[in-house]
Amino acid sequence: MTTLTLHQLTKTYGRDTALDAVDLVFPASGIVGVIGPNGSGKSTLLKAICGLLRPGSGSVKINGASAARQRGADAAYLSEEDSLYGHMTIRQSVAFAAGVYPGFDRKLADTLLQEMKLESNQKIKHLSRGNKARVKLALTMARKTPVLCLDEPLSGMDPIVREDILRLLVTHLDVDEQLCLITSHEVKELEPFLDHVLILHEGRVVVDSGLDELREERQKPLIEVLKEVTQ
Amino acid sequence: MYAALWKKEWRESLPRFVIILGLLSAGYIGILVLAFRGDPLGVLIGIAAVGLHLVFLFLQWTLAFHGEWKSRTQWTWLNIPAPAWQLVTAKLGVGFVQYLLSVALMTGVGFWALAVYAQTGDPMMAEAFPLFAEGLLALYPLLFTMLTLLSISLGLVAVFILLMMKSWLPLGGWIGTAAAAAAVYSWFQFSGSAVYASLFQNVVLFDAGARLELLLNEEGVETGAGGGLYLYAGELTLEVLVIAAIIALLSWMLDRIVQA
Repeated sequence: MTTLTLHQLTKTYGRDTALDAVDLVFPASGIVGVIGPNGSGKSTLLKAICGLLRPGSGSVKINGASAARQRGADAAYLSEEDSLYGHMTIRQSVAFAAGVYPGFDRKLADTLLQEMKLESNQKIKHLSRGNKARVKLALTMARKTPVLCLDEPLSGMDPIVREDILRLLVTHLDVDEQLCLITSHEVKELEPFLDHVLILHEGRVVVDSGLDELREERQKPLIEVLKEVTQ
Repeated sequence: MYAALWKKEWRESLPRFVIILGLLSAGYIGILVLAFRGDPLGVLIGIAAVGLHLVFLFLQWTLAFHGEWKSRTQWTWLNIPAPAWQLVTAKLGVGFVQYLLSVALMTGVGFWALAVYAQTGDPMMAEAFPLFAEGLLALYPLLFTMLTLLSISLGLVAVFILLMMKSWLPLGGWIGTAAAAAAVYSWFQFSGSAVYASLFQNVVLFDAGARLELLLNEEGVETGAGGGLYLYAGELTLEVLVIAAIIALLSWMLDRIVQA
């Protein structure tokens, strides 16, 4: 089981506070929706968990060890941006991932790419945005890390791609062993897949709850809760 | 893991390397054409090619590191759970191998051009160029070492400043430049001191002055007392250790302070 805890995590960019003394204990597994308005600190939170940003103060611990750049075997980060190497083909990207990520499940990556009906000799730079997003997700999921941080994987995608990405996620995520943090503005589409919800507002956690408990408590859809707590 | 990183760096830098080699090859063709015509302008182009190799690693290494951020792949690169020294040295190593290949090509073309100059029929060139070629050959180990150390130094300073830029916005670049300038100044002060000479200028690996004097005497040219151009084992060892220390510093920065 994975333990992911944040203690007084603070991150500032110049005079702007992205995360303000955040204390959190994440569930051991399942899908956690990290939602909030633009600039609420969602991406910063995920990057700090993966050791890709240096916290101003406070700490992030994964299984008791401080989060750090070189702990990519514990926490995988999927960027909203085109973060794949454009000069590689899909096949070369898989081979590269298999070469650099310990425990990379090549069979799963191949299965996912086959399901996506992508030709493995296509160059990444020639893929559509939706297909790049699919490849990114396949490679990230095949890393089989205890923590997956998916930063806006649905952003800018058409409904078919969004549905495809969410389907792949719930089909292939090991919900008993893996903890998946996912940020998105597509709250309505995301809601049915979530086990837990974090709502961030101005760098603070304003809601930290299991989805079922939240529904029971507030008696309204997640998007309405989001509007209510961030106004 | 390390092999996969090297392969990725090689593939990624290959188009850049091909462009640099293409530009250099155009220059080398120019040198050879001028050599066949007996036009000494080719020597100037040769000097420019040497100058380009002085900044070869600066260009290749800077573009290799900066390229991760420019193409937004820093999220992928920094999330690779490899020790930072592997991420850093894969980039530095590939650039250095390409540098060696390019220097080898330049050396081959250079000596070929000198041989062509010697055979143009011009009596002055027929006399001067073989001597020039022999002199270059005699001094080659020293010249190659100096060029390589300077190129590595420039490249490492550039990578240090770049990583400082990625560590602290917005002043990291300026702080890095100031720190690098202070370190270079201190190094020059130290390397000119009597302490440095007594500690590190020992065990002569290569006496360029003596070789040059011997060569000139063989050609009947009278020279004064030779010496003064040495390659010391102690000095070379120190420089290699300093390079290793800088690479360790860059690796530490990547793990501890660089932000994606």
